[in-house]
Amino acid sequence: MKRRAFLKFVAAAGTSAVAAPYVEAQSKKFSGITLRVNGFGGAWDEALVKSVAVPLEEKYGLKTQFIAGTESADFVKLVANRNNPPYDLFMADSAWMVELVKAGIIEEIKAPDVPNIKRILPGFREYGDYGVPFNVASIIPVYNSKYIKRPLTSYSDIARADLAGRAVIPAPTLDANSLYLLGLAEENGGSISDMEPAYKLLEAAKPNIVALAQTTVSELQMFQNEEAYAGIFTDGRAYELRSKGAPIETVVPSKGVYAITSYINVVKGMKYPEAAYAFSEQLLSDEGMLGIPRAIRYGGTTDVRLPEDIRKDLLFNSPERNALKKKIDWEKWIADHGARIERVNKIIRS
Amino acid sequence: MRSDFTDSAMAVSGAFIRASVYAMLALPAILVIVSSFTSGDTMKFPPRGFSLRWYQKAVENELFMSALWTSTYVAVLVAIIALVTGFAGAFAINRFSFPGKTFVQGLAFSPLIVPAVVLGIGLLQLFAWLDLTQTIYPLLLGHLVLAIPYVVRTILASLTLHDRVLEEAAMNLRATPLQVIRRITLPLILPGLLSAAIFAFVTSFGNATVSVFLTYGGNVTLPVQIFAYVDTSYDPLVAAVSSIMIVVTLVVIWAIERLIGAERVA
Repeated sequence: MKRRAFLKFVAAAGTSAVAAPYVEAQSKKFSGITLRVNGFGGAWDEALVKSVAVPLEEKYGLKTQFIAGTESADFVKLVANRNNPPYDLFMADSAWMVELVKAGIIEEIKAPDVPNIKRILPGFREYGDYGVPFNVASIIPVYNSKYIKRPLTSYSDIARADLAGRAVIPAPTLDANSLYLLGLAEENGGSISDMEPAYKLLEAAKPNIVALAQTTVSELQMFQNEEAYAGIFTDGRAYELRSKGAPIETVVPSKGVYAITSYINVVKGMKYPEAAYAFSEQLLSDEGMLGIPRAIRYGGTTDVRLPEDIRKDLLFNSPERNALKKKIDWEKWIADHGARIERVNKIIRS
Repeated sequence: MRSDFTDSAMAVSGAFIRASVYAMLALPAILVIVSSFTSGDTMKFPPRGFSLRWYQKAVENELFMSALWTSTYVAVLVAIIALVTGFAGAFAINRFSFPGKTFVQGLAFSPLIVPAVVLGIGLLQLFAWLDLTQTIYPLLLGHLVLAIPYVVRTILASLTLHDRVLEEAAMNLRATPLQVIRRITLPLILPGLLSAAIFAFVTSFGNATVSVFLTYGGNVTLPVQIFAYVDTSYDPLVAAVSSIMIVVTLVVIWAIERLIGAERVA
């Protein structure tokens, strides 16, 4: 062995020997810790396990347990157990974030703790330092291209005469899914404070509406069984139908798209904030961010580069599209919940 | 002649109504079971092709299998505890006069009139106050509260209908009260006890409304797991898991009947 090669070898071996304990320590940084996260169930949780939980366990020895339930029941459980929270991290959508912040049961998450926060797209973090947004579901018009030959182009098209007796819309009880009402209002000169144009349009759309879907499953079935040809649905669920052979087209309304964002929150009083930050960081990483879009085609919230096969199916897939995302005053939207339900029911059932 | 015709018409319409009722009761389960054998990716009736792949996926799915285990052992525990407490309650109501008897009877049936959601939230608050939400007790108690009215009512009917002369004869022959209960009363009302146990098991095993608030430490029951699953995914896996759930219920009913054997005392 020549002198130079020998010195190189010694230097490499020395560096490895010095770095090994550090690398080992890093890999076991969170060993023995299990983060409990409320789950949304099904393909959603599976995607998060693959793209976030498994890499975290490999990197740091951190385990994650997703506990399936409903968002509303999980929220009640969290509020009832402030002193002994059943979750360390809490997933919630924009509508529930209002309640979480009000209840004072979540911590702020700042960029120094989770550097990938800087990658979040403008307008996608709606609650200041509360919550890390990691996914976005759009509430948009959809139609079956086998039966509807003239494409829908806006929320207001739900009132088109050719959809008579063939449209389904989400029930107003679902705060997130009924965002289309805001779309109807703003497309017709109204606003969140003046919903009259939406109700007027809904009145006109009444002959078209065959059902107010109480759940996304019932709506999915209506499209699948061709009981409905058009309606308002989420982009991910429309993709699910499309991927199973139903010719369901999604519409990108040019005046703006109303979407709901999913957040991860650090629960107040949880024991392992560092581990929670590591989870959030991984969630916002390229690998974590593509997990859900890859599985069920709900969009991401960061500047992650989208592979072409995913990009073409996502609604928010370019700066131009991202700019269409409408800002929503969630507090006002939630506050008007009761009045909205009453009004929509009155229109549809009169 | 006229009466013959009326009798026949009544018999035919009776048979038709019975058949319709049974069909309505059984059809949803049959549709789910049939759909679960599809080879396609969507849950549709009639199914496309025949395949067991969704069953394979269900069995390989750790979340569903652990939820099935949680549901089963909670339901078995509920059936046993509800049977013991329900029998004690029903026996006291049937055999003794005591102040507040009507109130106790009303209390035993009251969970039937309280909406399950309210019950779930109430129990959650109670156990949060006791700092016991991360244990099995809330779930167990929640299911017990739901099961006990059915158990008490079923056993009460059995106690009311059975002939007490045999008990009196045993007592005349100097049998102690415990001996009378063990050797006369319990064997005589065994079919009622069996039905009560099945009611309790089924009530607990299929409950989602109360369970969703009371699941503990990551242990989720099968109905809650299914409910959460369909919120984001809707494929025949749900049908396969639901079919397994139906089969487990039927197997438990069959096993109880075989082990205790209603026909043995009939």
